[in-house]
Amino acid sequence: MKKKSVVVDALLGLALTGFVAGSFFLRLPLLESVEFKAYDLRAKLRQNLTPPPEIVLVAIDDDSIAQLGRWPWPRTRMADAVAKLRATGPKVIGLNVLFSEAEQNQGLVEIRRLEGVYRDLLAAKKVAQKGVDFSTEFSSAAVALDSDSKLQAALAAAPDVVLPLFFSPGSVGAKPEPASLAVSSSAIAAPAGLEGLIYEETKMSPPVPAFSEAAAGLGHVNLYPDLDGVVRREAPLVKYGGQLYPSYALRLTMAYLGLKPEDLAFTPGAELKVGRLSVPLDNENMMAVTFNGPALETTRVVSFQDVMNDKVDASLFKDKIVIVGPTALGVATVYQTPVAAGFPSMEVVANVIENVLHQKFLTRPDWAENAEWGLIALMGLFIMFVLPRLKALWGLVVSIVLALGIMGAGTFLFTQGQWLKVGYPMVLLVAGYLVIISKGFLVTEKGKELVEASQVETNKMLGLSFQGQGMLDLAFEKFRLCPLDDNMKDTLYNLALDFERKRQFSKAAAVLDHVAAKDPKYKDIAEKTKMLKAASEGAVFGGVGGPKKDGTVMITGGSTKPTLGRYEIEKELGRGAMGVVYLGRDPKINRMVAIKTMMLEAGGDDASLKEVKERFFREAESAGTLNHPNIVRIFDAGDENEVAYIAMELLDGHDLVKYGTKDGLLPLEKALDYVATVADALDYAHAAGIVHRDIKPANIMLLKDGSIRVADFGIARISASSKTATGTVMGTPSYMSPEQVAGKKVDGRSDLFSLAVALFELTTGEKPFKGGEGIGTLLFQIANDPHPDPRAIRADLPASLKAVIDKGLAKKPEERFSRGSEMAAAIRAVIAELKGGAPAAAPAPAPAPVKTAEVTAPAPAPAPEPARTPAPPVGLAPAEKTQPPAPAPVAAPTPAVERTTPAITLPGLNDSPAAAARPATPASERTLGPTIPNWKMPSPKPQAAAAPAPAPAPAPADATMRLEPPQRAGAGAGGDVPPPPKKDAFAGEVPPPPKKDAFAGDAPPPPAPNADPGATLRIEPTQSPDATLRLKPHSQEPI
Amino acid sequence: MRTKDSVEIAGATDPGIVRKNNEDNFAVDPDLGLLIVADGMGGHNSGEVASDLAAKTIVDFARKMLGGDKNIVPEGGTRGLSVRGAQLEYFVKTANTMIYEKGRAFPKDAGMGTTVVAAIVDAKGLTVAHVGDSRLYLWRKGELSQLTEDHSLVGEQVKRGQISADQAARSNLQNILTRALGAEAEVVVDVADHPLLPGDLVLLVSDGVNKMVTDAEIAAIVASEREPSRVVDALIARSRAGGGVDNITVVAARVPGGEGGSGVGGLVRRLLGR
Repeated sequence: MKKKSVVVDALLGLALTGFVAGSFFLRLPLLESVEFKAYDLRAKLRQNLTPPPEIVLVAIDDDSIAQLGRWPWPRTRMADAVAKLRATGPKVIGLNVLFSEAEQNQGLVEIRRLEGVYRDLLAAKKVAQKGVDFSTEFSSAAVALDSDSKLQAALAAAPDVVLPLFFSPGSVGAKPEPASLAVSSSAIAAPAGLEGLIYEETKMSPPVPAFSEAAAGLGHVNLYPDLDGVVRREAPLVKYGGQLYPSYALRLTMAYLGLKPEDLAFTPGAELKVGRLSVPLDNENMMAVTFNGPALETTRVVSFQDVMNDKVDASLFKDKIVIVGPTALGVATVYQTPVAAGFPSMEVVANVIENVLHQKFLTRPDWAENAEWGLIALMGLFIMFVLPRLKALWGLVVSIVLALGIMGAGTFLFTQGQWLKVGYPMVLLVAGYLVIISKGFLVTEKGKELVEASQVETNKMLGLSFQGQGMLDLAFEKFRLCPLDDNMKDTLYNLALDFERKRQFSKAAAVLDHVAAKDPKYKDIAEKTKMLKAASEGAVFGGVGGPKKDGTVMITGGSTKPTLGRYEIEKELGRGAMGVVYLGRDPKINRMVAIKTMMLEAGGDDASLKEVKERFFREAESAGTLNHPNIVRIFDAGDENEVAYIAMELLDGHDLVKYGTKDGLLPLEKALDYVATVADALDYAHAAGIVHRDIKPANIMLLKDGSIRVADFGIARISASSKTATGTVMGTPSYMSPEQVAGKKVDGRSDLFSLAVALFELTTGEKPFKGGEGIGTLLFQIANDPHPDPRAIRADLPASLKAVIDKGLAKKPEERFSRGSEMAAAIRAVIAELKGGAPAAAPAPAPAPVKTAEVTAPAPAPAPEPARTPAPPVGLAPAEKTQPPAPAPVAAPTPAVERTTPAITLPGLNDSPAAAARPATPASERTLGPTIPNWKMPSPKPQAAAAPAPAPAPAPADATMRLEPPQRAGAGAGGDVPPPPKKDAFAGEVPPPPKKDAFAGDAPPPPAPNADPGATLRIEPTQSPDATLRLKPHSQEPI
Repeated sequence: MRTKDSVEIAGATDPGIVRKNNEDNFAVDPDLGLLIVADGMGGHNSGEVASDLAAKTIVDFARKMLGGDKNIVPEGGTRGLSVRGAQLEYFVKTANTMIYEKGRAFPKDAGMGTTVVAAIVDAKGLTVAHVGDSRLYLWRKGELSQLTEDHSLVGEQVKRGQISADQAARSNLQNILTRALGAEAEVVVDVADHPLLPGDLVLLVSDGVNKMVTDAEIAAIVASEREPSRVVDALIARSRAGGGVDNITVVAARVPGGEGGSGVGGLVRRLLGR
């Protein structure tokens, strides 16, 4: 918008400037009259209000006419006046009355006729002269009546009287009648080449010849008003019949100075020299008059009648220029002047004389025109480019300053007698200001048109943005959705060039094909497509862009694959939470792997990057120690360019997400089996001190062969710990445990909670905590709300499953299954029940004892670990073995409490791995090297003394811890015996079987059947230190 | 800088004391009255890339759709939004698409993301859109109010009353966002319109400020400085003094008037087009 409005402003400004400049050049009336107004305003400043001493006006005013009779007066009166004035000794008399024709006096005509009659009679002797000479009488009567003669005599007697002549409008091109000698003697010869540069007249009305001869000189009284009818200039010379006639004022001045026409020196367009005085002329040979107004107040004026009645001091006229002329209303010719309207012509004459005598001229300096053009240009540029960019206030201020500057300069120069036409630039400035500002005002007020962008337009914009970011495929995708107009063809062509630059020839060709489908002849696409297609097939080209430009030969196609570490990247498999997952190939052993990448975020300095890397590898390493048939294997970890990666087992299968919906539910037994498998896998990992932290269906893979794998062990932690400052984004935390939500430290039981959520989802098709608007609701539900009854969602679920879920989803970690195997066993019990059709009376209590049994199990658990490196088969074996025993107790459908006791089978389970466990520990020590101290540190705290006591625990700290609870319980040897009571403690929340709604108040275990107070006590300590201990090794880095 | 209707705006970013790189970005466009603060995340330099891309995309689209003679409104979008709100939402969503796709297209940028808080202000009101934990504050007559809700885990928890603000400050989940640009193909953007009065100050900050300066301190700083540029400088200085553990970015906009804005002075100003 900005750009466009700038252009509009400039164009508007230009148009205005053009108009003003044109008016200036052509003197168009509109703006010229503005300039005249400005002239008039300034003219008033130039006035000299003291009457000039050289001039006295004798006004034939209203009073004179009232006294002496109506106009025209007999010329005898004029003659009397001339005679009277003559006697006062003026230098010059100007009788500013036109005497173009002889006076028509009826009496004189009659006398002349009678005299003729008389003479005829006398000749015929009809009458005789007897004493009286009638001839003389007639003659003297004729003379007495002949005022012209009297005036002529008066004029002749006073040789310094100047009379006016008048040019009347003649037809254009008419040939002027030659003037009499008496008239032309006042004129000077016109120099050649004046055509069009001076006023030229074709018809003259001079005074009657007698007067002309008698007068001291003649001057024209024509005035030439400007376009607006105002007289501003005087024409000192007017051309008539090859001669230049001086103006009346000039002639009077000449007479006053005693100069003759020969004393005039005329330089056309420049000046007129009047003796020693110089009158500057403009290019039309005119002189600008400085008027002194108002009328009849700035010149000495006396009334005609006062002169005739001798009421005026005669000395007033001594050596003056006395001009006699009419001022009376209706008699005098009046003109409009800059200073006043109704200026009698006599006074105009007086003003001109004053100007000349006092050399008070207003001229146009030589540089005036250039300066005026310059000012117009300046103002034009200002309104075109400066004004639109100024804020309203500044625009106003600057404009006013400019206007004042121009006006001030113009006025100052004017008072100095130099006329600069500042009206034009002023008009331009004011008009420009108004137009530009009002336009801006109107435009902003109007507001912008609201347009809904179509999908097409937004697609195009998006496409361009993608292209700009180098995402060419996406750009093409968007562009394809746009209609193929010329603009789009060009855009696509450029996109093809971009592809080509990136050596993606086949894509470039595809883009061009898209264009070709509509317009095969667009630019050079046909040729180019051919070239590109050949290039994409790996042909050797000398530059694809055109035929051999520089002769460089390059081999296209068959490029080497990108690598990450030692792995060749084949393709992208998908995107995980932290980064992209690629299909990679280990070229050394030709093994296909999945490579998970993630960014290592450092705090910004090398030290922290190093720390982050160390942490990453530590995590990756410990995750890599996991070797379990149901856990995705990690082969390798590395980093390159701050991209960390983990190479892991490539699996052919899919995750369980789709089975968590109502329509996608697995058969119940199958779902339970999968979850139980995962629980076992977790048990194994937890025993190794590794918490998954992100258990969810998406991380549980079902392979083509029907087996289950848990993926991404420890990765949640790696990613969490590497994002130090700004944080990570997480998806909806539906599977988070309450302690995770609270930001507390977590242990394996957190994973079991998450698994229970998954179990709920996989069996019911719904999530237990659905949240509401915003994630906060969900978090609140996880932390506080009881989960819904799964059987309310799916009625055919066995009550035993509900019990498992209820226990699994307990808010307090210590009320859940304490181990994965415990949960697995409980689930398998449900499966067995489903198969066997036995009522699930007390599956709930079952888990409890199992758990306790497993308190000892951790000891064997690490056992598999060592297998990791030295003997994988060994590791596998115990793991597999652990499973079969589990079903065993389940198989025994004895009463709940009893049935738990069979968990004793677990000891058996213990037995086999136990042996392996011993050697295992050292191994684990090795891998977790750095973590060991941490393990040990807290271990003394709980009960260092207690530790040794339970001999069965040969393992270091770990073992002691596990043994602790039994010890406290004061139960018999072996960790296995105490479990039963402990289980009961847990049963506190399990009781639901009898009373469904009991779980709501799980915190206080009121209905605990055989709850022996000691049991609860025992459990608490066990749980907490255990938890801390387990966490320590991994949580040494503060998250 | 000033917008058309004389809202004065200023902005600056500072890496802080602890970190060497600056993953924050901001942008201001006085012609559009557009203010943006983005706080990027992701390894390597991806954080910068994401926040920069967010700011650039929003400015770019805003110029295309608001900068011309026409005020272009995208089709679709959330119902019930004002015109400006719909536009801003579209700009932010487009930025999300750009970042998300770029992260997919270039492995080195994989997983990058950014917060963003973007506002369009004029003398009469503001429209704000945000995703993540960068905040927009409104200071009015000495009172500071936060007009955006942090899309962070602790933010949600505090809102729910699950943990106290004090606990939140110490939580190790502090850096976990529940929403960000570039994380997923689609993002939900919070958009709101608010009226502005003469003398109001609008403040956009990245969490580098919030971690170091309390709201009360912010209010005090705003109250003591008149010029937005001074407010920006003072807040950055204060955040650095407080430890400067994260990148610090502040953008401020002050609505003209407020003191003697009514009466004759205001009339004269209006007549003069100020």
